[in-house]
Order: sequence, then structure tokens, then C-alpha cells
Amino acid sequence: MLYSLKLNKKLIAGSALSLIALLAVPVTASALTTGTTISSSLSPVISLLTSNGTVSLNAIPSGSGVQTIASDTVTVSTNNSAGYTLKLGETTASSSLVSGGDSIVASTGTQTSPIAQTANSWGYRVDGVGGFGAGTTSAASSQAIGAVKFAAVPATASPDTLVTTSTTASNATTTVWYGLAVNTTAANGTYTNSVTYTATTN
Amino acid sequence: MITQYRSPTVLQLIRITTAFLIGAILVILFAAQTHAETPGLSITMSPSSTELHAKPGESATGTFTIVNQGTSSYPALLTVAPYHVEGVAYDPQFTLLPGTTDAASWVKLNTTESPTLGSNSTTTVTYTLNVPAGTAPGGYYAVIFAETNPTPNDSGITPHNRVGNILYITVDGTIEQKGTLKTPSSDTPGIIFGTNADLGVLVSNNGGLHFVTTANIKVKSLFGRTLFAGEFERYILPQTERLITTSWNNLPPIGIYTLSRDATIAGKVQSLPDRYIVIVQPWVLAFIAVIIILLGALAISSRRKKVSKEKETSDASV
Repeated sequence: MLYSLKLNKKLIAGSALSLIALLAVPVTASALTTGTTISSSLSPVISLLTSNGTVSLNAIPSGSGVQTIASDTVTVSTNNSAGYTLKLGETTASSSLVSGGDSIVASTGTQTSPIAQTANSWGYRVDGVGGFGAGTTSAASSQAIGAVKFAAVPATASPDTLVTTSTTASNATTTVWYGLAVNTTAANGTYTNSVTYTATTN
Repeated sequence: MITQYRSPTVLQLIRITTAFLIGAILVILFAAQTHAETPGLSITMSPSSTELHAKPGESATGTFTIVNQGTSSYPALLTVAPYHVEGVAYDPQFTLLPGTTDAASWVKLNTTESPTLGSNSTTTVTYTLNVPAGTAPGGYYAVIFAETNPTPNDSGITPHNRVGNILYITVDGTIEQKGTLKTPSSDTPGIIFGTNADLGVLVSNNGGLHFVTTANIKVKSLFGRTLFAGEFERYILPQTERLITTSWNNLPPIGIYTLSRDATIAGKVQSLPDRYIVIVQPWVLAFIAVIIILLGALAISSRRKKVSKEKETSDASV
């Protein structure tokens, strides 16, 4: 009986020790665990995409004049929470459409005061911006010169602001329309001009 | 009814031809779809803004990455230009502000050539900022541009796509940093009848170095419930004022609310005095007008009945 009691005491003591050991193990493990902080810094990014390599403004002139209107879609994305600004200006000092020694001059209109096209001029417009009016502008090919208002693409040093936003943007699109009005006094040829879209974060 | 019987070889030929035609149509459709999804000229720049620090006479280096996610390859033109802003709307300008230092001339790109970016390719460019000795401590600004430089291939307009990395340069030294939080000149009206309200603050920087402000705009009910809350982080360049605006849309039909605004200016929080704004939707006004008219009509009708009843009573008594 006594032996049995001693054995039981040993058993109880052993069990208690085992229990303490079992409880102590996770405590020790917990004490050894180190915290890991996940940190991530995202760089501000801006991207600009245009749908056209060249916006074609082909026209078959008539004596009274014809107008061709075509569009370019500019897509901007940024993760900057202050948004972005999109500007448009000439790439070089030339504001005319040039074909060798021949040229078609830029519209005399401006973004704030655009004008309807006159024969042998070209320009741009963005519906709803500046004085262009809401539109909606549609494409045209060698049609009679209409009343849609256009402006000259400004010089490189003073580009026009097309869009300014105040939040992040994911594939935000802006449609820029280019118009050419010509009559038969314009010499035939391949007329070109380069413009620059500039996107910066705010 | 005419039934045509064909030999197994003819049937097999028809099946093969049909399968080929279906396959060809699918390929053409897929190709057309792929072509429609093909992006034009794409250029991405990261980072789009960089903070640089250097002491007068010392230099700092930075890097940026240009990505062409499009299908067309192009030579990327890299340039550095001055940077400043105009007006409270912060219209960016890439020309030198008269009377200021041209920090763009301090930046030297560690590449002499225009890197050609193939389709789905990336290029990392390193640059060095060399601050001339004797430069006054303060904030200086420039922008590095990366631009697509395509060759015109048709009659018309050839667009160049240009993205910028704005450099916020701090020339270390003793620089005074100060500014004020102001009420915008065209502040939110006291009574709003529309469905949207423009809310804003004007942050001015009167010091010599840029800072990032965190502006908080909140609208609460008289019981303290927040109905609108916006937090805006913006760069404020020295000697400029920046208007930070937001729009509170879908206004409640009617009520009196408290507009509270604060912002961190050079590390310290400044607040504008709280303002009460009253909101009444036009349809609520119309509803109130109809109720008043109805109540008026009811009162007049009731009075007429009363007068008529009194007249009848007096007539009866006579």
C-alpha cells in the first residue's frame, strides 16, 4: 500500500513535471519568436501610350476646300495620388505641316479662343477643354470645311494643358482631334509635323 | 427532294476543306483582335519624382527606369529641363523661371546615347547631380524627360510621348521652412443648394524649401457623425501657394454641417476655423414651398368656411 502510494506520488510528480515541461516548451518557443515586419515602398510611376504611330490626315483637295479630321487616343496611367498633368506642344520649332519646301500653316486659333478652320491650315482640338466646346467631334475625310473649332499646337516651350487630375489614374484616355483644311492651291505632297504629349505627376 | 450521295473521299475532302476554312476564319479573327489590342507607342518612367539631397560643391546620384510595354521599338530621347509651377492650380512649366538657378544644368545623365527600347523591354539610367560650390541652401527643381522618338511613316501628325521624373533637390544647409494654411479665395458657400460641394484649402510655402503637406478636409453633422473625410498629400514648392480641392458628392437633402480643415505645414499641423454649412437640395425647397402653399390654401379655405358659417348663423338669427 505504502509502495503503491510512493509510486503514485512519483507518478503524480512525474506527470506534474511533464506538464510543466509541456507548458514551458511553447512559452520558451514563444519567447524566442521574433517579429517580422513586411515593408514595401512603391515607386511613383507614370506611363503614356498613344494609339497611333502617325495620325493620318490625307485629303483630296477641291477648289472650295475640304477638311479631314482624325483622332489620336492618349492613355495615361499613374499611381501618384496627386494625379497627373498632360500637355501638348510642338516637338520642334516648326508649327507647320511641311512637305519639302511646301507648308500648310497652323490655325490662328488658340486653346482659349479656337476658330473654325480656313483653307490651307491645320490644328487640334479636345472636346470639352478650353474654348473648344463640348463637341462631339467626329472623323471626316475630304469633306466640306465645317464649323468645328481648332487651335494651333503651341510652341515647345509653352505647351497647352489638356488634362489635369488629382488622383491616381488607370488607363485614363484623352481623345485629341487633328484637323486639316486644304484647297487646290496647296501643292501635292506628303506633309508631316511632330507633336509632343508630356505627362508628369502632380 | 433530291438527295445527293457522295463517295467517302469526296466527303472527307469536304470535311477537311470545311475544317480548314473554319480554322482560317478563327485565325483571321484572332489576328484582327490581337492587332486591335496591340498598343501603339508606350513609355513608362519610374520613379516619376525623386528627392535628392547634396551639400554645395558635392554630388548625388540617382537612377530611373524606362519601360516600353508596347510592341514597337523606338529610340528613347533623354533630356533634362528646368521645372517650376504656375498659379495655385500648380500648372507645371518646363522652362526656367526668370531670376532662378537652372538646376537642370546640374544633372548629367550617365549615358551619351539615346537607348533603343525594344518591345517589352526595360532600361535603367543612372545620373549624377553636381551641385556647384557656393550654391545657397534651399530647394531646386528640374525634370528628366524620356521621350519616344518615332520616325514619321505617313502624311500627318507624328506624336512623341514624353514622361517626366521631377527632381526635388535639397541643397543642404540652414534653410528656413515655413508656410500658412489659408482659406481659398472661392471658398465653399455658406448655403449650398446643389448636389455637390467643392471643398478646399490653400497651402502656402513662404520658406526656401519644398515640403509635403497632408491636408485633411472633414464634414461632420452637428451630432459629430463624419459624412465626408479626405486626406491629400501634395508637394508645396517654396514661394508658391497650392490649392487643394476635392468634391463632396451626393449631398444629404437638408441639414447643417461643420466643415473642418487642417494641414501639416513644414511638419506642424495648422487648422482653419471650423465653419457651418447649410445644405438644402432644390427638391426640398420645392417640397417646402408646396407644403406652405397647401397649408395656406387650407387656411384660406377654412377661413372662408368659417366666415360663410358665421354669415349663415347671423342670417338665421335675423
